[in-house]
Amino acid sequence: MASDRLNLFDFNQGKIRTLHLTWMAFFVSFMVWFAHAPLMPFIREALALNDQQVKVLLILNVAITIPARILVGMLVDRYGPRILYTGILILGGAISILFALAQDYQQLALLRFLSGFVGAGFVVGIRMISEWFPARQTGIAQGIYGGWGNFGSAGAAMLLPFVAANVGGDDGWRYAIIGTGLLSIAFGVLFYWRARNTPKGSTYFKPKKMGAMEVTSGGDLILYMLMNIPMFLALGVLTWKLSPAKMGLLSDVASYAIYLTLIVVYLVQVWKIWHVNAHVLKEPVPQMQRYKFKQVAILDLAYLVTFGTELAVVSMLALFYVDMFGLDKVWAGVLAGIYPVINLVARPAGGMFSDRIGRRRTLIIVFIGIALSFLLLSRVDSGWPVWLVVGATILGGIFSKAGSGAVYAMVPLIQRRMTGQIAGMAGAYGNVGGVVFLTVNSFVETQMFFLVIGATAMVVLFFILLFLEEPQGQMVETLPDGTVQMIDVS
Amino acid sequence: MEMGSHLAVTLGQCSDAGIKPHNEDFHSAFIPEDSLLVSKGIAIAIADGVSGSDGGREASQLSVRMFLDDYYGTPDSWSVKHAVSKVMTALNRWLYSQGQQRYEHAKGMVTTFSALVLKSQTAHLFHIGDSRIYRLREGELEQLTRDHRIWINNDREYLSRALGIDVNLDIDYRSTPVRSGDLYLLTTDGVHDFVADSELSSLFEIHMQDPQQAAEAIVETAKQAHSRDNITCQVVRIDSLADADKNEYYAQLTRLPFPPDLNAGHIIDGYKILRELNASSRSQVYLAEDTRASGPRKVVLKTPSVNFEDDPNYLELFLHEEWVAKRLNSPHLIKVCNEDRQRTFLYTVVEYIEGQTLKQWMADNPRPGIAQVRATIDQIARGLRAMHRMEMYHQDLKPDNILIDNNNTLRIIDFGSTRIAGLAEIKTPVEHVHILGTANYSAPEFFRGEQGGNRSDIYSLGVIAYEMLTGKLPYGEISVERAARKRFLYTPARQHNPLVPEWIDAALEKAVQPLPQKRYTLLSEFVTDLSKPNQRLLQKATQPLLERNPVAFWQVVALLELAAIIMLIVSAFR
Repeated sequence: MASDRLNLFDFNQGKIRTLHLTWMAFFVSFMVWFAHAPLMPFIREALALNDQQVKVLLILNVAITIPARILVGMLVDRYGPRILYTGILILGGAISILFALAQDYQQLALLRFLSGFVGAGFVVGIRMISEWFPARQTGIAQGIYGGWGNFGSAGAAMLLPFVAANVGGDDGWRYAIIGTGLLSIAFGVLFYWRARNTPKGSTYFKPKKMGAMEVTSGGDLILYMLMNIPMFLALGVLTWKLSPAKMGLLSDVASYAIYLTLIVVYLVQVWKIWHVNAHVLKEPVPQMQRYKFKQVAILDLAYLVTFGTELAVVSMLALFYVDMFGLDKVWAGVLAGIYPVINLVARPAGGMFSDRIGRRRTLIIVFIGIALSFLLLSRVDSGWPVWLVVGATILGGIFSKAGSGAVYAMVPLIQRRMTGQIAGMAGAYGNVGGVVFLTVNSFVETQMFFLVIGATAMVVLFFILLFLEEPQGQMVETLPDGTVQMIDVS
Repeated sequence: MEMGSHLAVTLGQCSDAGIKPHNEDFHSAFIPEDSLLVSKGIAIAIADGVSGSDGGREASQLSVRMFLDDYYGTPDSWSVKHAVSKVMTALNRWLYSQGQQRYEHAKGMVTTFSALVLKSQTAHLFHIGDSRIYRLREGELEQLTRDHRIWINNDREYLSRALGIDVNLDIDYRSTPVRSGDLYLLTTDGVHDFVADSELSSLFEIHMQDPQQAAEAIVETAKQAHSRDNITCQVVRIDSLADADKNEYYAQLTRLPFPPDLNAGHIIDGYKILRELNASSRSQVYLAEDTRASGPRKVVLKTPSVNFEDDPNYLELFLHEEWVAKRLNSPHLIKVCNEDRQRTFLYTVVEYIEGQTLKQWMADNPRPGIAQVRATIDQIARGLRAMHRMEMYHQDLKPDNILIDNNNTLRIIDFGSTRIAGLAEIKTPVEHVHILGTANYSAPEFFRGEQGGNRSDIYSLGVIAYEMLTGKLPYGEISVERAARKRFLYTPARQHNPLVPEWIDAALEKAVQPLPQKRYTLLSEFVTDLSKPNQRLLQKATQPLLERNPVAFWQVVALLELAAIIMLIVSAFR
């Protein structure tokens, strides 16, 4: 019979099969998404790219993920997770094969930009897991899904440089990436064949719409509108980076067209938020449904740091090892691969600490850790022993991933019925973080890049200390004879 | 189901024999309190015993009294329309037979009858004969009923319809939204044949504040106008509407806290958890022992999932489930353990049935005999019928929701999606979710966003019968996401199982028709057609197109004709 513990080897249970399929789909999608990072030293060499071109490629990879997450969130309402994950994997696989065949920088850039939408797969799995698992198991199931799936970038980092170095000579990186593309397409087909949207025979209730989020006071309405700006700003900064003023990858006309589109889309978004929420100004929302949007805002910022760091560091780490310490390309890939591996333990641990010692306290500790480890890294120079540098990045990785776990442990406690939307917004902010940090990376030296991460972590730490409230849970006690009683906390 | 503010009215009534020796008119009203006010509303009735009949006076009195008594005795799951039509049909039969027995002819006990039921934010009007119901809104007086009169010549008219004339009853029904400040006026012909509408309006202008004074003034005016009949009128002013107050409504829903995760050994309210039976993303189901019962007694405890802690729709459905089960009594429906114990958490308790689900049974018995299938469907139909009699529609009938105990008795469980007509009429501050049931067993109308009824349950039952016989589904696996665009093409059961007789296949096809109006109207028809061949159904399958679908036939003819004309024109121009 079912219990608190998940038996991950009980393949007779539909939900266990689904969990494995889903985290593997996420794993593959992450592998495809980050296949380029460990191979960057190879690609740079093969196509004779300069430093700026490489850094822009890294940013492009995470840019489209921001709007894609929103789009995928809406599509999943309509078409269900099964068809959507299949679609993302097959399309993502196809794009990455095209990327592998690219002959010049323009093609590379465009295809890397397009492949960013693979990163939106995360949202799909979250919906799938919540349909299949009872409430008491969703935390652990989402943890396994997120943690093991994220491991995909480690898989790519450790495996692909070997393939690239040993197969096909100069074109080795192409074979490696084509390999991930084929794997992705194959897994997409497998997913469609084996996965189902809901448990067989379960009553279907229309899932809640993922449109604009509901807020519950006038002040929160304004805050919500403001909190949407950074997502568009990040894309704006990227456009500026690509415009004639900097890289010249986009023409003047194209970049102005993009600015205009971003403004229009933002206004549409504001209008939608207004449309959904205007009523809060007229009549107060019932007590039961009230929540504080500042909690969401702080979690967004926290995830901007924790997941943004992860995306940015994973993207640049292999190159950093090669450039700063002259490491061998394969060896650099393996060392860089350690960083995402940390996820396996650190992310669930962050969730666990959050359960045990309190949400707010965990976040405070984690952010102190992030700030200190990245401030340490900002002092790095080529004279440091490699083990110390690797150690410092691992330390930073542990804290930032534990932070991601802690953020998602708190998300469902803000307002249950909006968990999906709050999770989606935090996820988008994670990507904003990726874009911001990688953009910074493209302007400054690596030490400065680490310093910016450390400083941002400190700023967010202040917000947490000043504004974040510990969510109130209901208190229940069990008497010695087993009787369960409520304790009134109010 | 407490609401923010209650429906409140002020009533004025007055009746006078006028120039006649007896008053054959009768009127009465009932304004209940608390839960009955919410579930049944306020009822006002007026009747005018027909002078030509011997028992007119008795007929008017009895009809009004019995109507009020019986209406408030109907189940609170019934809609107003259903409840009143049941009551009126019985009343009419009774009047008719009494009239026949006592006075030995059909005109024995005959009366007009007009009733107004105000429930939540709607006025329901029932009307037969030539009494009237008016509404005064914003100074405008409107007659809401139509007189059932036949004009013979200028000065003689007869009632064309009345209560007690015939065994068959044809009563007018109409519903209309109520507004605060509305005034409703019920009159007999002693009033409205002698007082013009304009006069009534001006009387109301004077006596707006006091319906009783208004009623008396109207009767007085009719007298002054030399009314030749009994004079009766009722005036109802709507003072406030049942307004759904969000805060109070939510407070009601969240009165009890959600239980925490329960493990074996935990006790809540005397129920000791033995083990978890099932846990889904929507609820947890535990097997428990009632430690307060005299002997060992096992029950099933269902607790809501914290995923929906702040979802009023979910909470409402969860509370409905027990409400439904409490009101049903059939050996084929699961029973709720309805005990008077103070609950400290939100959960439902139903009897524990040892046995298996129909789904499991089907897996174990892939090719049951026709007789076995028939017996199974018959039992489920009995359970469903008990629900339909209460105007409740299960809406999520599937093999997982049917339990077979060790004596082979079937029980329908899980009323979590049940639609209750009487409750649907009560306005609540939350919009109701659309439940789609379980895709493979849900009637197609749900996917089109339409409302279900008894025919939707018949559809589900048809699918179950089909699946029992063939192990397949009549329209294959249906995915929820694509169901709305699916073309429903019936695969004959005989294609999967050649042992299924043609006549059973025909009955199955009719039960699972994609369009509800083409399905069986009643469960019993389906059950009957499963036990003996229905010749008409069989003939239909082999009828020519002209009879089966005349429209299509003539469309084809017209099309051919058009083609011929075009060809002729074209050839003429060559």
